Amino acid sequence: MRRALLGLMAAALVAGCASTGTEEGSGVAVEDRKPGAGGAAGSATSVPIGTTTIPGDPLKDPASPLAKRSVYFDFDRDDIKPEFRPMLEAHARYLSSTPNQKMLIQGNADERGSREYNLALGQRRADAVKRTLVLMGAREAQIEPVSLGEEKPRCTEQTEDCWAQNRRGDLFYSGEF
Amino acid sequence: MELTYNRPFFSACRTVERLFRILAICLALLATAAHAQLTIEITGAGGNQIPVAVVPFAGESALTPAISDVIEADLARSGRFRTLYTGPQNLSDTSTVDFAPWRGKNADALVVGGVYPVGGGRFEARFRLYDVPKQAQLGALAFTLTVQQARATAHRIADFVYEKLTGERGVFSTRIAYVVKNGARYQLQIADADGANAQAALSSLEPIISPAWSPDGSRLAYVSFENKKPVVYVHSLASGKRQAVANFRGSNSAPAWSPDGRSLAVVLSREGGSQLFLMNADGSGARRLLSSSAIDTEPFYAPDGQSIYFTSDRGGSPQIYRVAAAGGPVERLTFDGSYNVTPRPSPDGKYLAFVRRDGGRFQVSVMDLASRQVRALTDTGRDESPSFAPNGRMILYATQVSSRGVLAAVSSDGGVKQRLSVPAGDVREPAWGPFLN
Amino acid sequence: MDIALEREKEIRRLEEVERKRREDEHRRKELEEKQRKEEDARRLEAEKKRKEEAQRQEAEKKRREDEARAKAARDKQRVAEERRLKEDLERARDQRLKDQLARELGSTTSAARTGTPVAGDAGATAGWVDKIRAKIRGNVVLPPDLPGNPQAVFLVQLLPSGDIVSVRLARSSGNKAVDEAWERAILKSSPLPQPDKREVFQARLELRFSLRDEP
Repeated sequence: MRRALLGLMAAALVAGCASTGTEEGSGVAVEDRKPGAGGAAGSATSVPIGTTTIPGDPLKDPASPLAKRSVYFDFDRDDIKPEFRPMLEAHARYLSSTPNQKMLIQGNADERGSREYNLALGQRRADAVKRTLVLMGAREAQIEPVSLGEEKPRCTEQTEDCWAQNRRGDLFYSGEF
Repeated sequence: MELTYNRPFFSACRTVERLFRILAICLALLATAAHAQLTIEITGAGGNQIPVAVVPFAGESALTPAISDVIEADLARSGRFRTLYTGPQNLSDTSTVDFAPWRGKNADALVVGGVYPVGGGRFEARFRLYDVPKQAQLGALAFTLTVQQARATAHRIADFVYEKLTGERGVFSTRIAYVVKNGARYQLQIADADGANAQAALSSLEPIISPAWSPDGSRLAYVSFENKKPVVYVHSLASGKRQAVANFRGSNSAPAWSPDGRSLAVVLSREGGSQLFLMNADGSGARRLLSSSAIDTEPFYAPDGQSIYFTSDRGGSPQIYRVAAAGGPVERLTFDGSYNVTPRPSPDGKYLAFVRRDGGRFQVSVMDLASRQVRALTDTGRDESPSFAPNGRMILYATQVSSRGVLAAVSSDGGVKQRLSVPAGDVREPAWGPFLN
Repeated sequence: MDIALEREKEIRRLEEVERKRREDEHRRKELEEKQRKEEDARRLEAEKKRKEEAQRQEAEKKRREDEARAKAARDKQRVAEERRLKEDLERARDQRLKDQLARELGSTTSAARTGTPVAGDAGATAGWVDKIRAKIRGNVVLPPDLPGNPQAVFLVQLLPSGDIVSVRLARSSGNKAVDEAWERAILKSSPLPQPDKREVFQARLELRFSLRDEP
């Protein structure tokens, strides 16, 4: 429901967006909420429904880009898709501004195939997220990339939609895991 | 003078002898026609399953399960026997066997036995194995047992029968390890090779994967996620004591024992990527085996300990490779298809079981390492974690039936397929344990 | 004088007589000696002959005894063979009856007995070999994935009826279980098919088993 709404808005706002709504809907929505991305940003900030801004810890502010903690990947891929760069930039900035902060990145994979190979795929995704964050200014020692492989799926149906949600890197700060 | 006596005597003898010779020739003609010998070459076999009759043991109702039922199920499950229905028979190890009716049933072998109380809640189980066409005993044994040991005793009898009739060691007394997911709970379980008699070695609210038996069967290495990331543990089954042997920064996974039990091959991401390391079984002395920018994982020692099979995507897709345990050049073994993973060499080192994706199906396949020919063994489509029985005859693996994980076994030639009965739950990650001496 | 002359004459006459007597005596002795020597030679010859005869008789006796012993052994063996043969025949007949009974009970499948048309003895032999091979091979039960290529040789004796009289392992494969599986296949194949032509029947078969074709 929410994803459909986001997809609709994205389609309306971004002329010529080739995304097909169903598969890449969430991805498009995330991209549209990129701060400082022109008109899209302003409208995207209003998207969260029924939320109020809590002052203080930016990690707990649902309106903050730091609230976004998941990076999604294509099948058998570990390259960071452009739509996730703004969110990762926000995390990198936060990490560099709080040198004592530590982050755990858990890479995940969909359930098809070997568990150990999927663990390695999840690791590769976690490594890719870490590499991107370090390039964006985070310190190497702040981040531990690990993998859960296919063991902690967010979605358990055997559909492409579901598998796409499981090809994912999740970001956690100290105390959150 | 004497010659005049002798001549008639000798001629009479010769005549008798000649008569005898004629008679002998007649008999020979009648019986054997001629002494020439015809050579006939016979290659191959008309059948693969030895017909065997396991007669219910006298007095076995004192035990649960009935010993003969377990023997029969074991032999049938191996795929090498066809068990014949015997019905109730008044036969035990003390009986004189009339072979005619068993020959009539086309039985090659006959197992008879009895269970006798010996006091103190103990029993003696005795049995005899007969070769029916030869009408001869092939062997006999006796065991003393408690009520609780009925199943284990039956497995040992089945092992004896199997070895006598096939010339190879049976695996009915070996154990398997696997992981069951029930709701949010994960259990590492150890069971008899037939899936019965399961016991939990470890319970956790986080996933457990990749159990690997130490060569002596006393310990299991596995990966547990109880610390929110994969860590390799070694778990002593007798004491229940466990030790994190690989808990480095990043992920630690895919443990594999060296055949001498002294080393573990593991996959660590502590230096970036998923890379192969060797370490002592206590976790000390980790050293990198290979350096690549690709994924290297799922190491498994060749039975001679000289080389290590592994999965790598260094060629663009996950394929199976081999490297000397001392390091050195890497040899690619699979080329057909874009997804070949989880290499598991057979105990004799001649075959390699692995999982191959063909279209959308993941199937246990086997490669003849000499000819490099590959054959799919299963007709299921979501197979994982193949594991050879220690005699190399069966491969245990995990697959899915209506979205639920189950354990199955296939004979190494693909001829026999079975489902293991494991209590409800999602079952995965089977590992067949070694022979226990 | 005359007396002296007369005396002289008498002496001479006596001397002559004595000389003659001595000559006669000598001749007689010579003759006697000769006769004695001849007699001795005759005696020696006779003795020699007697000894030779005795030896000959002894040898002859020994030969007769040996022959008698050998004959007794042969007879004993013959009797044993006959008895064994009889037993085998009885056993085979017994087995045939059992088999027939089993067949009548419908629990065994009898081997196909379709012969291929052949020309001449060579063809008949080949056809017979094929039938035997097919029957025994059909009764071999071995796992197909045994390592290596075990091979063994069995010697089989059979009756013209095809009933198997004896099975002997002449060369083992080294795998007892495999040898036994082959022996079972032979025993289960009794009676073996008969040849289309009686003349090609052979009572002794050498069965050479191998698990698979050599590459």
